[in-house]
Amino acid sequence: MDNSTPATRSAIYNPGSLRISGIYLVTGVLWILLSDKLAAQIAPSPEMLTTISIYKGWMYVIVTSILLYWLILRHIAEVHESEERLRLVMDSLPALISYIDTNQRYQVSNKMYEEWFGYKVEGRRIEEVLGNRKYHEISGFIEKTLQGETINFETDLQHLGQENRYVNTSFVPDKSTDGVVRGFFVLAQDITARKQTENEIQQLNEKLEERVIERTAQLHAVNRELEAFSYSISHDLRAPLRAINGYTQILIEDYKTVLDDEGKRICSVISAEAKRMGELIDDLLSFSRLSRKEINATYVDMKALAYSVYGELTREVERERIDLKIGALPPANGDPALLHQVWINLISNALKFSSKKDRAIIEIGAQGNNDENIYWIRDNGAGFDIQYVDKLFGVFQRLHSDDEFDGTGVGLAIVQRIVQRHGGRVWAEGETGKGAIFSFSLPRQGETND
Amino acid sequence: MTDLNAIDILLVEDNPRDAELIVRALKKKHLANNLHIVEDGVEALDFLFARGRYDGRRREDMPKVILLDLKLPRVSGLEVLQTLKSDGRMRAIPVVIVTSSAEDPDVETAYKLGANSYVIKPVQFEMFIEAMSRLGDYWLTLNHSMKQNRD
Repeated sequence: MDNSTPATRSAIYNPGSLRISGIYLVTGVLWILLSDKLAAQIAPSPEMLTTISIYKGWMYVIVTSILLYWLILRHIAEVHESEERLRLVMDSLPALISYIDTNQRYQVSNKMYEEWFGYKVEGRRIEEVLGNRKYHEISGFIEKTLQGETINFETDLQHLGQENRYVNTSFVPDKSTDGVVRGFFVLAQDITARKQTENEIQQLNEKLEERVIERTAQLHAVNRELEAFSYSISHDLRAPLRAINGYTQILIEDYKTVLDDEGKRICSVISAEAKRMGELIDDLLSFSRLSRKEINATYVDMKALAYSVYGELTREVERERIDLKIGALPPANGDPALLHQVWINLISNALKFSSKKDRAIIEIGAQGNNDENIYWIRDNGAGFDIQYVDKLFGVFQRLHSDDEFDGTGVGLAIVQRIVQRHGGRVWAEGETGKGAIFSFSLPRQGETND
Repeated sequence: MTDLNAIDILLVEDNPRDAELIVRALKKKHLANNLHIVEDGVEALDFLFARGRYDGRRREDMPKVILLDLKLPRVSGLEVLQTLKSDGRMRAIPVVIVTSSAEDPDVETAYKLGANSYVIKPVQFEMFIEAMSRLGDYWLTLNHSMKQNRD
């Protein structure tokens, strides 16, 4: 890399001087050649030739002096012009530009310095202009650049002795070809506006962080309240239920001689309803607990999970009448316990609704695209009326009566809740008497809703 | 009137309905002959340590098993459990927690404090009877208590 400045190069070779001496040389050569010939022709005698030669000589000196003067004047004017242009550029740039020598004195500076400090800094030392405190802050940088390093840093700088502005400063060393540092250039840009914006953004961010912390704390508080609520339900509602059940039983047992068939039937209705209420409470509590449980996302082998759930829900003898087919299921990224619950609810539904068929046919499969994997389960059971498909996933919504099939109607609501929390969707298709297909999607790789 | 010095089962239960059902279940298996009921933690401890109302009782005569509910007024079930299991002699009495609460922290804490067993009161009565009977059978008949050792 060529570290030398233009000044170095012109010490030996300069087009300007070459031009001037060139013109001088050519003029001189021509004059000498031509004037000698001319003089020889017009001179009548040798003595006149000598005199003419002498006057010619003086003329030569005078003419070439005038020529040189004129050439150099023009050259200097050019140099001044280009200097002026340079200075115009330097002064018009909205930055502090200066040159400082090895004695840490300002040699050249642009107009910005005057505007910034209120006076011309040429000839003064850096320490004088910046003041003790600021000088000692950056003296390390100054030393480094005088060793030959290019430095860039941001600092605050007092403007006209009043406000503090921010500048982005570069020190560029001026090195000769043999590596000796003769001084350095300073370029400092006013970045006060940017700094202000940065500060504002930082403050906003801090405020935002505070608010996020507040909101999270609120959320945690709400969650804890909900947990306390569920806890108290599980205790407080069950106890009276137990009493209703138990005392009805006492009635049946101890007063069976007094109760007629109708009386016994009424007692069994009371017991059955109490039992049902117990199930509803249990389901509600599951639903609430699953909505609040933290998702611990990890690799889940969906095919193995589906198989294992099927095994959990069926006994050896039952499986004889069930045709189960599970295709290739891509693995999922999600909470294993929650996904386990999803399969339990879906497969037990398929089993339940195909329980009246001689042969139950249950098929599980999947397909994937770029963004998500879609898992589905099809059964050949009772199906449902597609007209009411919107109600299917509501809590406690049922499309079959108790006489037809057991259940509280919260299973699918739980499936929907869990799948949604994983960032997916559920949907179903079916026809009364012809079975149903339930599908759910899970995003591929690492995306969950919470 | 049951002899307070010959109690087999101490039932600590504040809900009279649950108490009645438990007793009925135990009666079915003829396990309720020497049963005493207290309604809160303070009474339970008074009974076991033979103080307050039970001043006249013989302390060394301890029940074969304590059925302890967790939700009690004044002193809670867990506090009673802790007190019992920290006492050198009381510690030997088996304590069966019988409660509606299936919430995990309660179960864990109970076992940590030294409960011998944790049973959840089912809503359905038949199951309740079944559970109580089995309990009674095990702790009174099968389990060899410290008391039997001394008799």
